[in-house]
Amino acid sequence: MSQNLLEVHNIKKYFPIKKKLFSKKKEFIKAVDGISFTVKKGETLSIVGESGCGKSTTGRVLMKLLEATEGKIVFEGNDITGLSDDEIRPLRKEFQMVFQDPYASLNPRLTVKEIIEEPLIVHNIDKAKRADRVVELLEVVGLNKYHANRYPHEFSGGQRQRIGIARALAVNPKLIIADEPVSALDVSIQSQILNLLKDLQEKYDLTYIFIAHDLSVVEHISDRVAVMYLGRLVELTTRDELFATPLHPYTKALLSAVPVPDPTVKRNRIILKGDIPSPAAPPSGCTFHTRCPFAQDRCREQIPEFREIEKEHFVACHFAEELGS
Amino acid sequence: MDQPVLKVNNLQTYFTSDAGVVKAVDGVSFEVSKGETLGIVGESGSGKSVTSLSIMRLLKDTPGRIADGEILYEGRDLVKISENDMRKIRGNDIAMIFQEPMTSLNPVFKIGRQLEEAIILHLKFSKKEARERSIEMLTSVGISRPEKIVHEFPHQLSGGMRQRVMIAMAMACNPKVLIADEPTTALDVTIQAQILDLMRNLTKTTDTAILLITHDLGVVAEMCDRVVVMYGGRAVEESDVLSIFANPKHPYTQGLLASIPKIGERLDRLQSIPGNVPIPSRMPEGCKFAPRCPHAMDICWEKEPEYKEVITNHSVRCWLHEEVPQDESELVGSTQH
Amino acid sequence: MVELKLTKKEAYMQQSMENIKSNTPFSEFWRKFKKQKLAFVSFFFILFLIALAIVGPFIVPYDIAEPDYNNVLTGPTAEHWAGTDAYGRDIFSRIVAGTQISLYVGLTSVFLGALGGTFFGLIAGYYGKKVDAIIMRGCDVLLAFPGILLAIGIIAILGPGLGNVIIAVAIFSVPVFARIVRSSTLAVKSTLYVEATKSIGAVPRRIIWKHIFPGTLSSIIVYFTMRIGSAILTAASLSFLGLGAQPPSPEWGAMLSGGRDYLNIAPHVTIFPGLAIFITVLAFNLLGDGLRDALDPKIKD
Repeated sequence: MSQNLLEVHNIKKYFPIKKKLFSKKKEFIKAVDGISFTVKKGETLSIVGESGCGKSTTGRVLMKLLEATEGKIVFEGNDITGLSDDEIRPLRKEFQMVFQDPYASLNPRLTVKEIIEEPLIVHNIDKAKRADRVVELLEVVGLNKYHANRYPHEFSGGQRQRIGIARALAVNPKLIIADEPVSALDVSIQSQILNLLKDLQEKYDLTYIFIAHDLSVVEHISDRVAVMYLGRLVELTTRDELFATPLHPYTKALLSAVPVPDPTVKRNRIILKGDIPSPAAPPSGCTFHTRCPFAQDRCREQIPEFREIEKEHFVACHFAEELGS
Repeated sequence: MDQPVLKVNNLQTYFTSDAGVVKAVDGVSFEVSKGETLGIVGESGSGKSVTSLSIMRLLKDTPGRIADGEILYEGRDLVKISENDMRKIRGNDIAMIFQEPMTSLNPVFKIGRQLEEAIILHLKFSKKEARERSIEMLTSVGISRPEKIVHEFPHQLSGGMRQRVMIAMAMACNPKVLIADEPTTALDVTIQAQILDLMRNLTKTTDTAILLITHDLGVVAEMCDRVVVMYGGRAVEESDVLSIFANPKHPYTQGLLASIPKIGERLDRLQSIPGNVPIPSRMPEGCKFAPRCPHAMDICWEKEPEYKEVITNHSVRCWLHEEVPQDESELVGSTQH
Repeated sequence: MVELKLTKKEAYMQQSMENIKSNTPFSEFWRKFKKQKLAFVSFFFILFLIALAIVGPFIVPYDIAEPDYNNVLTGPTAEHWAGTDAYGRDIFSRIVAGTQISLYVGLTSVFLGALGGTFFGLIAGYYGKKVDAIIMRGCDVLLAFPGILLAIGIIAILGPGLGNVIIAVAIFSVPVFARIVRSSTLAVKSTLYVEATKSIGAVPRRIIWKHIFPGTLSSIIVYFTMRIGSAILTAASLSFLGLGAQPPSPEWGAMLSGGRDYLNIAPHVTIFPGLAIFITVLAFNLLGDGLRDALDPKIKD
């Protein structure tokens, strides 16, 4: 068997735009427009990009919260793409999600115990075991049993995120998709949660798909990083490779745009012109050509292939070789 | 030395609710001079935004009020002047930009009209002059087709464009002080880089003093000359940006700096500050940071330390620095039994 | 020094540990509800009415059906606080006894209506698409009739009588509840915690009843309370028209109807039952208003 936990083949997710009266042509927002990657067992793959790049949609498609328009998702060797809600339900305990907003992702009317118990009830764990498991989970994520009977509003953001993580862990998943799990948290709390995620990964042999926009966080947590722009992957490689020798001009700009918390560093920053185009009307050819400092005619016409330029280093750029050197 | 344009002295802003009085800001002092950028750093609940709202006297619609302290703008105490006088200062002398530009732009008016209104109100320009000034301002903030943008509504612009418009609007009347409350937090990194670049260039040419309120230490390092660190409604440390980053004195600042992941630095575990951000209604009695502080001593729980200048241009509110100690660790050791 | 006093450090630590006595959503609601003075008073008035409805018929000073031809149409006196009607029956006693009927009609009809409406609203809101279209268009049709006309139509088919009044009022309450429940279902359905529940693999039935329904409950309660007032009013109107409770019954609407002929010579025969209807409906509406303010998550202090 392959050591790939998850394989994603060319998935697309189009959202239809409300048709205008009498207009026959159907229009779509191409939130995810053909991305492929694999996730190895036990690794952390990060998907980075700016707002509207489709990274959260990708997460939801992988979670089967949204149905892919096209493409194939293979989990542990089984194609799960076409499965109905009923067929996917027993599989759901294998992959769980941690959400960005720790305030909105917990039902305010349930106690912490009820929230963490929910996946256990759904997956038919018997009652006697559930109570122990809840206490155990609370301790695993750094809370204690006294917290079990409280309501979410009594907790701070960081503690709520811990509750969300406990819920995700409840049914012993193999894969956790974390959608910006720390971006809503205070700086001093972020690192607690990141450390917790790392510890849990080691302890339970978890595989993470970590969706984020903050490159410094991504560098800290990932093994491999995929960079997304307007619904497509533009670069995918190991963390070390990506931060040392980024090849795609967008990755370079993204890296250079991150403010460095060190006033002695003065850098030559690549400042991209213009805004991110709308995914409803993406530019022709390479979608990045409108902002790319190196854009040529070819970029405007031809969609660059997502190709393996070196081992484990995929880039979608016509001029990756020239720009890299 | 330059006279400071804005000087805040022991500001105290309290919020009253049925749970009692919450001291959102309790003892914050700082000053900004012409052309200087002062960063105010803090996490949620640190009181940094309330500080900026207090300076602008925008607490009217909230249960908050300024309980004590003074806010001196060119020698005038903004706490004491009438609402009418304040209105003249607001937007004209002190301008503000917010995190989410959409909430401060009126969705039903075109961009041009909103800009012109502010200009006509404060600078007494004619309609035609105001239009010219608007277009000039929009050009200066890097908007490429200002003649077209003035005819558009806020929702037709992207987040970055809106923030540019907000900056244009804030800068239109040549304010002496610009308060920027998390101006780039809602923006993407590549757009943030554009906006920060723009703010840097603008202030270089206009000599405006900037009060930059943020939680992002990266932004602080790049933009600010001086930094005030806030925690639990207090200013806990202030110095120039180089000293704060190279030689932080308050344990909170130290912890904060250590806990942020930095690009190019690979650690197995990040350092972190234990515990949670304090809830304003349940603050400890002594030093507000004591419950999370690795150096907390008995005195820290009993009594709040004073905000003191320990070395030139470096103030800190911490018992570790109350007497100038020979050796910090020695002091810590000697007070623990 | 041996001292039992806690240091400030210990006090703070203990305080943060102690805080496990948590505010349940109910205690939070009760705290806010108590601040709504008018609603709070209405609440106790309604409790009093309910008590009256239960024991009223046993404690009234006069027989409510026995005619007394010596005291016909007398105005309010010390013996007859609200006077007597055309048969010499004590109006005060009849009003007290009638409380039972009005509350029974109001509560049952609205309860049945809410039950049906909530079910349809949840289904329509959760499943959307065709199910939603069919249910909501059905509601639109029902809502296109003025309420009282619809009720008269239903009575015309089923025949007059109190039981049929309940059915009629229940039926025209269904679409109103369905609409309200549907809109709050849509709101709750789009929250992140419902998405989270979906992602752990919960079946739709569980998502609807355990997660969405409690979220819609506050608007149901508010509307339920307000609706009781208008149901009492409608039931009284139908009885007034002779379609509901029949004359010997001390139903308030029927009493109004009975006093109609003597409006000039004995206005008290209509005024007192009218007053009872007015106060009761008002109390339910005020309570509903107060509940809305206390339950609405948007009004936070």
